[in-house]
Amino acid sequence: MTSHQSPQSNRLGRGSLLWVVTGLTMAVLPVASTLPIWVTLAFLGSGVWRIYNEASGRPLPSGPVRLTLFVIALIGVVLSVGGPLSSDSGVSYLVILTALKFLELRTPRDFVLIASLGYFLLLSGFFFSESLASTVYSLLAVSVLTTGVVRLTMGPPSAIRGGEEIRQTLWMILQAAPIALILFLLFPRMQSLQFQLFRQEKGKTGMNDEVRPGAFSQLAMTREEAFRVEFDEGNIPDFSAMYWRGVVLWEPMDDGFSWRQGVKSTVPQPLPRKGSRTVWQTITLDPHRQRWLFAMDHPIALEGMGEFVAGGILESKNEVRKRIRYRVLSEYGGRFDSQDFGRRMKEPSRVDPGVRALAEEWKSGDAKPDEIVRRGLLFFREGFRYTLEPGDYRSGGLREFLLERRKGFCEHYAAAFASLMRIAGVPAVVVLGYQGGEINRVGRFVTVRQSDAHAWTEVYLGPDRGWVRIDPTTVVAPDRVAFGMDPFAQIGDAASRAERLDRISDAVEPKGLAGFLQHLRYNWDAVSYQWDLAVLSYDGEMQSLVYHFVGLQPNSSAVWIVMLIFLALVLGLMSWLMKQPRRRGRSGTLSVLYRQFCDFLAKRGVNRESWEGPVAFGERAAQRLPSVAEPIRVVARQFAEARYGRDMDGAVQKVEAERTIRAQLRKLRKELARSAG
Amino acid sequence: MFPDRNIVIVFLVAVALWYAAASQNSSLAYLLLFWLCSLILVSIVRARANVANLKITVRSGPPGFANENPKLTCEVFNPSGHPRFALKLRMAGFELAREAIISRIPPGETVSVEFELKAVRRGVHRFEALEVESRFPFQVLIGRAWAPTQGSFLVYPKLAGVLPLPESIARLEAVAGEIPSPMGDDFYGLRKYNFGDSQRHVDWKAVARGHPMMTKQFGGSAHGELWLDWRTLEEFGFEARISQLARWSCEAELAGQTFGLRLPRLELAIGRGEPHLHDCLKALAVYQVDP
Repeated sequence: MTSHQSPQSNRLGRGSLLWVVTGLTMAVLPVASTLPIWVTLAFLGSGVWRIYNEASGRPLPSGPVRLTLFVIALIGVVLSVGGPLSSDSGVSYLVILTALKFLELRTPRDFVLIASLGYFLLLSGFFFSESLASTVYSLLAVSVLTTGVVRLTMGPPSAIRGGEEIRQTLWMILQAAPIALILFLLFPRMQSLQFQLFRQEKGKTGMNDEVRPGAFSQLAMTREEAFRVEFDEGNIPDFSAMYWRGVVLWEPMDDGFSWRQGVKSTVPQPLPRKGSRTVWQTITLDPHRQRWLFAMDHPIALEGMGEFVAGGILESKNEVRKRIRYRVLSEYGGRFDSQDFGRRMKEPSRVDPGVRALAEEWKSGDAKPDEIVRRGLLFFREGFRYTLEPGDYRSGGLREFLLERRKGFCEHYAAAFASLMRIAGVPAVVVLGYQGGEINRVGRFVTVRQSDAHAWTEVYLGPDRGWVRIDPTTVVAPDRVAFGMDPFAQIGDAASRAERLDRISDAVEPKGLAGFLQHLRYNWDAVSYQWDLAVLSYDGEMQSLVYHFVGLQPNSSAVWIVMLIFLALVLGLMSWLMKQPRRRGRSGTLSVLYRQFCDFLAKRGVNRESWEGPVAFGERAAQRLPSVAEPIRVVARQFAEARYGRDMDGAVQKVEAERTIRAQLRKLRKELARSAG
Repeated sequence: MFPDRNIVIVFLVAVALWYAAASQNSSLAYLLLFWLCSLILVSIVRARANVANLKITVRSGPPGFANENPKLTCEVFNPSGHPRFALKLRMAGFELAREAIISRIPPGETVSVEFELKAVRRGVHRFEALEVESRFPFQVLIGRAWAPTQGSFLVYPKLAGVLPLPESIARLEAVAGEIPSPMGDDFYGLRKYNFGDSQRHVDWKAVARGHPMMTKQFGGSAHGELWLDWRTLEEFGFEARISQLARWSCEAELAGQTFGLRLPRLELAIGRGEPHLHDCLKALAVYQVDP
């Protein structure tokens, strides 16, 4: 009954290696797209090689070889991503270091080190995505890594049942969950910590504070989320009213095909006009590293950190670097005027004669501003084509767009229209923001994605009509505004009307599998929205609410004491539970199996006497039930040997005995069922 | 509960995560940090529970000699409801020749492991406790616990010495063809029981097997009296004398020779067989210099 296990100094065991290589690979995959391809390949190759090496038992590369590889890899990374450490190049360094660490993964210490690198890799993954899905994925990866470490500590695999490490790790994660929750809720968050080692380019909007439609030959848009909007009492306005105001561009540049924001000024909040429709909305904005706070056109009141600036737009005091929430009251459905606009009349600095002629023509007959606008829109109705791949207009500029190629997307039309209006003497600005979105009926919110980015114009129609939103894109491609950008992004101009209609969130309910999938997606979106609200936006402010709820003063030592008491309680309870002796009746599997065996035979009329040993009982039962004599004898003998035998070598053979008994019991049942049937 | 020095790595990771979380104000980084911290906290409890409350019994096998590694069998019973993993056992005051590791003990079961100690000097060795150590579950924390296990084991003296077995007087006499005296104390055979024979000489074992009663016959030294005497080895040192006597004892037993052992203030009567050899070796093992 002895188990001999010699220590294996250089071998970590294939089980733990497989786990940790898998975990690290999982950690690298989400950031793989940002890495030079050779870094990813080197990482994968090195991991696979290490597993192969462990299996074949060959020695690891010597010190000089590793040093050479290290230098080569380092030079490679410097050449590929640049020397100075930034968030992007940092990940490359991290991955290549992990790959090199595989080559010298020898001692448990190396193992702990490489598992720690996994934590950093996952952390860097969070800079790219904070969604619920990627969080769940990261926690899965970190669980796999943890399983590897647990497996390592379990030692050589001889006496470990398959999956034991998974069971133990899961069990520990379950135990850790309440502790993590306590820490998450109560561990004081540092508000003042603003120092940063390196800045990450997290959350880039497709938006800028200027438009240069001519410079881009195609518009690359992602399905990435920009923000989510929850309307009070769930009254979601019409899709066509959903213009999300972001930036106002005041100044045309060069020939009028490009626009920029120009100078800004802070103005008091505009007041709601009588009779207009208003709606409160709660917006959860993903970080975009700008100060804009988007809101439904046009916002008249704001709750949260931010201010109104000229043009009726909202800005945060600082760059939005993390997900934030704010509440906005918006006025919609009617025309609006806002006294703070100022009349913006400046023409583009150099206007092409052809373009000027066009605008002058609209002005002819002493036309009023609304007539000029109508003529302008009529012009765009004929011969223009909406496309996301118009090619670039670098040399020809506005003239080439308006008079020759006539292809473009919203920014082309907005910039061109606003410039034409200015030339024709009508005050006009370009507005950047988003249009539309996806209505999630499960969560009752609207998801606005980067692909919903849009540009439109506002023109001033005189003191009685004020500023009016004119969206020239609607003239060229009415569906763009009615149904959102996606149909164009995905199926191009040739899309059938029916397919486009399918995209409308409210109008058409897809049937069958598509409907089921959409429903599933809405549900997932709703869950991740709650996740965003509850977890991602949990910060110092929300934490103070929790403190107040449990009656604590923020920033007091009581917070620490309460947290430590909570932790001590949980840990104390846990260790008390672990101390409890094994409950009776749930004894070792072997006895359970034997009891099953006895019960089974009792049902067939062979009762075990209390004094009867397993072998004697088995023999008697075998004679009574000759058709299954063999399995009965095997079970009885195996049990007797496993329980009372002398040469049982610890747990391994016990496990084997259990396996045999289980197999024989199955056979027994099958045999008897057949003879009965 | 002792941290390994590698816990520094984990600590650094935690600090780095905290830094990243605080500077980015990132809830997810905090989540990762607290995930790590809570796992470490749980692992403290688990590492302790993994080694605590084990019932250990140590069985010593037949004694070995002082130049050999003593072997003991250690039975570890896990009374708790959770399995134990990767236990490394040590015996306080002794060095192990091989690591004694138990990979897993299921709840409510016992697993044995052989203990091979490094060679120790002759005599009776007492032990008070076993130390159980494990790095389960996270490698960087070492759970350690003492399991009180009292007991002792005997180590025979080292067999050494170059002197041949002393010639026994009796052997010379036996060669001369003297008939053994019937009243000696060396067993030489059985005869049919006669009424009046001492009951102490009845072969009760045979009776128990169902044979008729027989009387054991004892004669004088069949091969003469061989005395292994301390005083004959005066030119040697103390330990060398012990080793030589131990070696002679074994040689005599191997040769089927009856022998007795004479030490200062101790005499073991002429005898033979395993128990007799054991008595002699034990006497030599525990023999100490006069104070």
